Amino acid sequence: MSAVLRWTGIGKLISFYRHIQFSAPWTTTGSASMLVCGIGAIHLYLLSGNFGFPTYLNAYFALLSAAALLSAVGMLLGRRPGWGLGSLVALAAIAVYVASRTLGLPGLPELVSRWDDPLGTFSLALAVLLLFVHVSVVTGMNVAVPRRRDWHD
Amino acid sequence: MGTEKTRPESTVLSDRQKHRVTEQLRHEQTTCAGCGSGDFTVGQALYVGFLFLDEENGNYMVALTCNNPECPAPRTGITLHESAFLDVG
Amino acid sequence: MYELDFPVWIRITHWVNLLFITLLIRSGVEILGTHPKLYWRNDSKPGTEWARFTRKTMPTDKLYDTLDEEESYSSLVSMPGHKQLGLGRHWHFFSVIGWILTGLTYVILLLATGQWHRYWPYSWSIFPTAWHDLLTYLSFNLPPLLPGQPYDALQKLTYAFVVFVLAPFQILTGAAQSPAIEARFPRYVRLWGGRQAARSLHFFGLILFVLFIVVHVTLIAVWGWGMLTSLMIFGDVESRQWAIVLSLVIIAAVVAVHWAATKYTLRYPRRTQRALGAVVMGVRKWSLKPLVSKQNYSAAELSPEHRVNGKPPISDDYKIMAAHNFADWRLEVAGLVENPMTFTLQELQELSGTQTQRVLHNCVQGWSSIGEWSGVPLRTIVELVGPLPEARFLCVLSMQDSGRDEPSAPGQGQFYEIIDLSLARHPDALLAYEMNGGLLPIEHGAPLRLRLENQVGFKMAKWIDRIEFVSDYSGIGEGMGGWREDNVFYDKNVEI
Ligand SMILES: [Zn+2]
Repeated sequence: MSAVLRWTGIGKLISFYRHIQFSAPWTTTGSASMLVCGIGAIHLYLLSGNFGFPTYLNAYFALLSAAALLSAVGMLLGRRPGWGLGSLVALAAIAVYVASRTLGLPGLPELVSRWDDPLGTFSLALAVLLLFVHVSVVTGMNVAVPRRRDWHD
Repeated sequence: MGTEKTRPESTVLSDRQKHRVTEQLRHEQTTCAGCGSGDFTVGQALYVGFLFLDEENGNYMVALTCNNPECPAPRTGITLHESAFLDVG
Repeated sequence: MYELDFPVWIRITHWVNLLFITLLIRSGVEILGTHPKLYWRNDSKPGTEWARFTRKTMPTDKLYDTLDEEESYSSLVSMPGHKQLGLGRHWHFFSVIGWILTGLTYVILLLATGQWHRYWPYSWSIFPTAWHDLLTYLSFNLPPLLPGQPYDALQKLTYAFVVFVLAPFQILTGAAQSPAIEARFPRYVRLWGGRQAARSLHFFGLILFVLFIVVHVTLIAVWGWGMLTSLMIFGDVESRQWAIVLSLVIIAAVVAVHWAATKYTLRYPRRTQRALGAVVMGVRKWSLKPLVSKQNYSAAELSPEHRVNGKPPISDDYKIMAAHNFADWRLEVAGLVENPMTFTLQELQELSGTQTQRVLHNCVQGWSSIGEWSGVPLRTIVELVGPLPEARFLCVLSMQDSGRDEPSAPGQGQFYEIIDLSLARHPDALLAYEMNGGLLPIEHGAPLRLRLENQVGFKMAKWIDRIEFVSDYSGIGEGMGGWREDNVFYDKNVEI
């Protein structure tokens, strides 16, 4: 395995990741909270738009939107659980969307294979980006408020 | 001229500190490379511990001027650690 | 309506552009790696960087310099890689000349042939159409092409943005990092928010170009690799099978050029330096070299902490001289002059016509700081000694022995730099013995350093003790025009 990494240069590219660090706590936190708000807004739109979804799904949309808002506020206040909640929102959005297009949701068999939904693709993209930002904070590529970099040089 | 100009890296020594440098010179039997005299006037101390790669932290280059009027190279110096001549505490 | 096909010049410039833009990206990463930190403020104050691409940390109890901070990146991402800033610069500047010429040819032919219609937004409706196209892409479908045109609305806007906004943006932010341009047009640099903001923006431009290339190639594959490469190779869609093969051959050829150029550069750095340098310095001679400094920063803009490069001489002679405030130091000026002269520091300080300049200092590695320097104009010394008619260059010699004093730079021997006699006569060429109103600090070159405000920092020799007028420098060192030129393949005239 390590020989493959070395020979292909992929190992070098992975180690290159550790050479990238940013000092932009507010940009990081701000973009993550905007991403999670974006996911929340899409689900709020689905809830409020009278699309005739089953009750359990509307309840899920309401729950997800509320969680997204809570997460954004938590992040901006510098609370770490806000980030965990944000990632849960992203994972749930991805899981339910993918499930609805593959396995099918109760009462909504017509959504299976309907990948041609721009709003769905967009919310998937937001969720993946949010997970990426969270991972970057966990791995130290980014810092989120209230933390700051302590670089002297 | 009269008053000594001080470089940003240099410290003006008090009489007590100069005296300790002189004691060190006597103790180490330091003599002038130019004329062999052992009689020096102690000048400023230049902190070299930070700027020079080969120096340990806390080292100073203390300026010495040979008091022999015939000396061909009167301006010399000695490297001392701060503990040897700066007042501690 | 003009037929927006793919004439041969579009096809050629497209593939030539591919070569130059990829060379620019890799050599750009090499340049970034030499000072792997990005700032917003001109002073590049340690710890204020918003991004860093290094894991090194510097000591707090010992003088370090930016040579210690340099990173050695793999040749996979940088050209040539392995901490070769000088060669990376040669490739960057050589490629940018080729890239600008390609771009100019393209734009001129666009205008001359009517092909500019392919980028012209005929109505505001292109924006809602582009938005609709985006939604179509998001639903994993392909939007319709604009009537009579080769692109959909989103593609048209994107290509127009890359050609007419992003490419000029990279050229302009790149130029804003040239010390000659910064010196002559200080307000131009302020326009970008300063030297470091320009460098950061240049980095964003790099990211956008990389993103564009990724999306562009992906969409070529989605729309039909055979059809589109056939258009871009043969100008029609008749030979799709051949186009698939040929497009891969072209891409392989570009990769091969990169590979061979990298190998050659690392194996024959001197030949690369000479060959690329001849082109690059030829262009600089008429473009950047004539620029004279017009900058005068305010005292409030002085950097509280001016970064340094290069370490002071560790010889006892130097330390003793410094402890005595350089009373025994002498500046010898000799060589091809009528009156060879020797100056003490006091004699230099007492020469009439002391000059003070508050200027932006550009390190070759990319950092900057603002400092105030006072001293004797170099032209005063030139006039005093009177160069003989055959004198053409000044060899400025330092007390630094780089092999001994600077472990982070490969190479041996006494530090020196060659400057043109014409540059020595520039009004802003200065032999400085004061900085920010006090005596010149040791790490900044005490007792005497050179200031050349339209050059990058390494030309401004520090710890000077001798200036020699010469007619030719091919016999000095390796004959490349300075210690850095000899040992790390920098270019002799560095207006950028
Ligand atoms: Zn003596």
